[in-house]
Amino acid sequence: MTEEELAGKHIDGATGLVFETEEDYLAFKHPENVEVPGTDTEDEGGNDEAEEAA
Amino acid sequence: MAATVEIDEANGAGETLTHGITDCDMGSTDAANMDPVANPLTPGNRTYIKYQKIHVTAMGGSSKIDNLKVWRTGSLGTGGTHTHVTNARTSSYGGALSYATPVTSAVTGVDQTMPTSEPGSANLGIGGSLSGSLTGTGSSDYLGHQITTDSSATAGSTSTMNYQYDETA
Repeated sequence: MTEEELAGKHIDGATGLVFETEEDYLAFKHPENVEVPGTDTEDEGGNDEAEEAA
Repeated sequence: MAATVEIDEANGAGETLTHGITDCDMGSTDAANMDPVANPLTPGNRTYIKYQKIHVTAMGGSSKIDNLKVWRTGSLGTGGTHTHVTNARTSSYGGALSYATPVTSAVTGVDQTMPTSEPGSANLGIGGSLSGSLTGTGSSDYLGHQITTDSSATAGSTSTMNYQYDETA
């Protein structure tokens, strides 16, 4: 990548991988800290009922 | 578990940030982890200024990072005059150093002699203040530093940069 293409980007010094944002880099470096969206089955059921009613 | 801390360096007009640099070699090119053999400094010139910061990437259960100190150990080389200048200082701190495309000329505010032993108090700020702290992920102010030489300086020297912080559980 050229210097222009790397402008504002984040490089992992250990691997050379390039990330668009610091958040992306941190998610790569510390995957254990990335929150995984949970599944709330009760809410999904409610939505289903609403869709059926509509 | 302790906090995870790394040293980052910014380069280029676009402030490309390299995380977790593995050396601080200084010379005639603006690059992180540069090769000083391929990019030696010609006596009488200044190295490209380094813009680096202490980056906390995970607190690891700690509550605070503060009291940042930077200094160099080891001599700069023989022959002529070498000076290692920086914005780091324990008093009359100039606030957060703004990033600009690295140059080989003098930079305003980067005019203090780099300490050669551990400073008695913080000399690099967080959020523009020496009393600043981090309670989550984040970075210090930029540490700017540069080596100046005169025409009698001899090529090649090795010294060590030290970066220190306090960590509160």
